[in-house]
Amino acid sequence: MRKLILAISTVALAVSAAYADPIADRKAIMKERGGLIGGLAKMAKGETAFDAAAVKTALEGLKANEAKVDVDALFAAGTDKGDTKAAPKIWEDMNGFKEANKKYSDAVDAAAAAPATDAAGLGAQVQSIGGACGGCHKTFRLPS
Amino acid sequence: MLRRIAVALVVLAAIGAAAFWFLTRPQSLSAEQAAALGSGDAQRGERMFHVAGCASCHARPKSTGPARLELAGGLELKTPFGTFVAPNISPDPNDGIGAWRVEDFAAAMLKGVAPDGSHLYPAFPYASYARMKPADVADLFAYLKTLPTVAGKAPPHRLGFPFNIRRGLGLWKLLYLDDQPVIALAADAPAAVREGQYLVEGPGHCGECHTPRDLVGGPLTDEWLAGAVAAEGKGTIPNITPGPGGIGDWSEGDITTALKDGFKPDFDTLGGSMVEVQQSLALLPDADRAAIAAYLKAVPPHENGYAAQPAPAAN
Repeated sequence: MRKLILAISTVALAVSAAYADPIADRKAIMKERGGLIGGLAKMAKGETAFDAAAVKTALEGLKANEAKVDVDALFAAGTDKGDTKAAPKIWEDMNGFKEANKKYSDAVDAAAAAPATDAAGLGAQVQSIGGACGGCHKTFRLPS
Repeated sequence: MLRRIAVALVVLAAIGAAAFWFLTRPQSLSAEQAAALGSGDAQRGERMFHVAGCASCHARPKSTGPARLELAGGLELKTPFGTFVAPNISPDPNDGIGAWRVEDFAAAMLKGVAPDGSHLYPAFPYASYARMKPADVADLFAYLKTLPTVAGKAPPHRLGFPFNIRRGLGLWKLLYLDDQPVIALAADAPAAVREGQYLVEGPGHCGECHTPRDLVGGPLTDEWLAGAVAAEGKGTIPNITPGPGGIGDWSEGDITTALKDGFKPDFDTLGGSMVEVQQSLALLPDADRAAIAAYLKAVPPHENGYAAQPAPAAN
């Protein structure tokens, strides 16, 4: 019996090690997201030349980035502690958090389904995606 | 002998009480301030409304769109002193400020005094508004009068002793209420920096969250805008000086972009309560955000005004 418990604990440990650091994973996903949106925002503002192919690539990159998000794993119980600005509100209102996350993925999906063909159109898409970023950060991230 | 001591103590206590009563009496508008109010222009007042972000606290919590102009109050600020509840400041004559005269409104904004002569709590940031031009206050009042009337009072504050004694705020005001600029700018500072100083230190009340406070909630102005532990206790408010940990590596353009679009230079977005502040500041003319940026580049650099974050727990 004791061996069995030990074995189970070992397996449990190994499994949790596979998701060793959800906080670091969260940060990496968000950082990649910011980089992709930044590239689009610069084009929308005319700081860099509009490039339809690059827009398409970046929007697909955002979709792939979004697909990495498994809220239950990344924001598992206990991952509110540590070097994170995730607000306690996430765990108090998990449904609301998932809803806010869906608003973001909907905005990304809509843009990726019909990538903008000029800077003005891209501006509208960046604003829609960026609004969803801020909408979630307002409630579910600590002041920053 | 004993009797003499007793008499002396009673006299001293009476003098102390009289001094407390005298020192803590609510002050009303100065004659100069009252004369400078002018007639109030609602159109100009709309700008002040957005600079000050009145809706952030006074709109019904979680309302969106046009409902942000229904200033029913009700938002709770949970602080170490207790829970403050933002009041109804819609033009309702019974539950809001519809029956106030412009002088009443200016006394609240510039002196922290209610129409009944009692002290208001500085959770309402009159310690910053005290630096506003009376004419801007009158303009704001004219604008507030154009907003929808909402019936219903917000619940009262819930504060523990001794913070529930309003008279004591007279002492707080003696220590911290000051209508002078915080930062002494160089005599040749550009006009934009000066305008930014007015917007940030006055109506924008940025220092209320971004400057650390002492034990009784007074701002530590020698760490102006250095960042602070959030008043509501969760997280920290960033250092926005050019010092270490601050935004010295942001250009003025980076600051105006953050205030207009919500994106930081790395295309992260602003978070927490700053999102609403940003959405309000985004409604201003470009020149106002540029002035704020110019001022933030000119303030003295400070290290973070809050202790370093605890190291992540080892697992």
